[in-house]
Amino acid sequence: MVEPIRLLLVSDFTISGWRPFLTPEFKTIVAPFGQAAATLMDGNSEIWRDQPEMACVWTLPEMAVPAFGELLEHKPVTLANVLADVDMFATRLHAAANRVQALFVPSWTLPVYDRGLGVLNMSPEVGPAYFLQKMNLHLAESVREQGNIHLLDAGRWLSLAGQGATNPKLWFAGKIAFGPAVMKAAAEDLKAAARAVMGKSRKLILLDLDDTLWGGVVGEIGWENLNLGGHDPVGEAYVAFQQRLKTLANRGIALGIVSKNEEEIALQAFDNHPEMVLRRDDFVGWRINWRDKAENLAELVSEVSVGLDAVVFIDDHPAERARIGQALPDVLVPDWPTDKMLFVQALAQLDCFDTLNITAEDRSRTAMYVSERKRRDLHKGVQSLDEYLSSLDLEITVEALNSANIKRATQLLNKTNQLNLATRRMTEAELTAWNETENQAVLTYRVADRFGDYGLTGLASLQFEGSQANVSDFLLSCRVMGRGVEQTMLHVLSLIAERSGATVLRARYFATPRNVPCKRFFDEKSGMSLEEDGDQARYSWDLSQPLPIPYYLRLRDPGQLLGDGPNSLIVATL
Amino acid sequence: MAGRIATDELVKTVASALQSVAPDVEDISAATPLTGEDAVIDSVGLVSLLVTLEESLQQRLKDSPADQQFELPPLLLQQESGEGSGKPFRTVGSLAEHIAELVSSNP
Repeated sequence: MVEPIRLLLVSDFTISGWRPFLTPEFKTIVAPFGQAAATLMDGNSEIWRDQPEMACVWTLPEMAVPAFGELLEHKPVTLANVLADVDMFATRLHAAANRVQALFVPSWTLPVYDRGLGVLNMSPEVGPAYFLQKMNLHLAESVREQGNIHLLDAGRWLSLAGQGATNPKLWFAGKIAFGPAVMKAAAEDLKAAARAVMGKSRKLILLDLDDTLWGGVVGEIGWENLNLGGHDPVGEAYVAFQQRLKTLANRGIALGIVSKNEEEIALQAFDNHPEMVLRRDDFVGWRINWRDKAENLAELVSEVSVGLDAVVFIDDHPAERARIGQALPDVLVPDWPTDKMLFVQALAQLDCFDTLNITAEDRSRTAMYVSERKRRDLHKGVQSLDEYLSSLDLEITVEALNSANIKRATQLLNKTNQLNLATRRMTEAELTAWNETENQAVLTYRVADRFGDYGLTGLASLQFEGSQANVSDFLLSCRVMGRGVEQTMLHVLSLIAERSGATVLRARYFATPRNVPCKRFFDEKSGMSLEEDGDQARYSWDLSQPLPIPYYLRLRDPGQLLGDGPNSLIVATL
Repeated sequence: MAGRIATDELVKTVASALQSVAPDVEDISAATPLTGEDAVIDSVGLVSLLVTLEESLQQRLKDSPADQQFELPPLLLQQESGEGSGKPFRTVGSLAEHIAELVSSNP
């Protein structure tokens, strides 16, 4: 059973009514009423002793930003006055954010029943709605650099709740600012955000074809007669659904197909239909045959090297959805509308894809997976593993942690589970600080082959203690496992350690439910000796020579980390 | 006589309102306690429940035939004035009965 996350709630209104909506994912601690500022600023106060892992600071704009309160009373106030108060509030958030893994801040809202100044509501001089938008935007800019403060779109919650969003009776009776419908929507978004922080976003959507991606059964009517596009409302709805899927792919959510069909007939539809938005190269893989969908899905997921808990399955047929839900409970199988014109809405409402960043590598993830599919096809045509690996023309580029790669490196550190030695989780600020500490260094590894660039997929860190060099972190994306990258990472670490004068390289493995592949690598393929076995196994290598690098790999060191220049990571003072 | 609403229907209405303010409460029945030591909600939850109930019942009564419409006395004010510390607000079932009496007693 997963432990609930300790969540501190800080507010200037009665927020305890939110707690029932936050279980079971969170165990909530509520800061004392009326002490939001003090709670944020005073890290020694008792409320912080429970060491909450995350916090949510939900305030009313007229309380948190006093100048805005004066604006609402029609006192003369300038935008500069208001933004100065926003800056003060941001300072408090920064103070609190240093004590938690993530700090969530719902954006400021006004009661939905309040017309404000009507036609003047958006006036840059006096309009409350105008000022409120400026406040929220300014706050978003002010907290951006911190890295672990995340603003949540509370305006959307109030829109969803409609008239029931705010009720003056709740306020007068109990200083309750929002109705239960707002609380429900807020809880759903907070849980989605927490999943993003924990690296548990879904990464792969597997789709049925007939009456899911297009109207009609392609094997019966041929691709020419599919209902897709045209001037038909349902046809247009299918196109919009495909466009929305493509949008998700553009930000790093991979797409795949699991369909009961003749493969060639189905693929012809992708190749030939003029209104098809998605084409073959938009899919990282497919299983199109007459076998059981659960078996097909499990096989495809294994091929793509993601966990079942990273997968969403979409199928118009309730029986197929039930089959997957029952056979593979870790796969998310959302209820799906029978009305095709609501498919795009159903997809847009899914909250399982939230991430904290969208990096350039996320955007190119589909292309990377497609390249991987082509590599698998190549593998089928070669005789031995060595022959296959040699034919890939693999190249690994090692770089120090820097401002250009910190976001991706942090994402990798927090999302990688299987090949992860110590499973340390850190924010950008924490990782940067660790790297900048004397006798410690973080290295990143980019992998490419003749089919394409996998991107930044490896991270390792080294810490010197006397004549001993310790591998503090060692992690690799599962999509490049088993190609010698792991050995190359260790080779680089051992080179730096050996040239720095260390006599032994050590690595301590910390067992988790998911990182058995890492132990298997260190036991069987790393070349290091096992000194102590068990859940905290320890490995060592005598640094009289570096660990070997596979013969078929090329190592690039553009920053000369391994040389004698100013960027060298060789520690001169051992 | 104002429109009657059967008590068991009102139990469902109260249960549904309770579910909307306290989704973590399971197996809601007429016996589910709303006040007292074993209450499934705290005082804040009770306020939210009563306001939510008032809204949904008021709407329902407005939708009734014209000769059966009336204004439901605010449940929240009754609770605040101390009537809620007694039996009517003790359980889901007692609250449903109380509402049924309020509705049927209106001339």
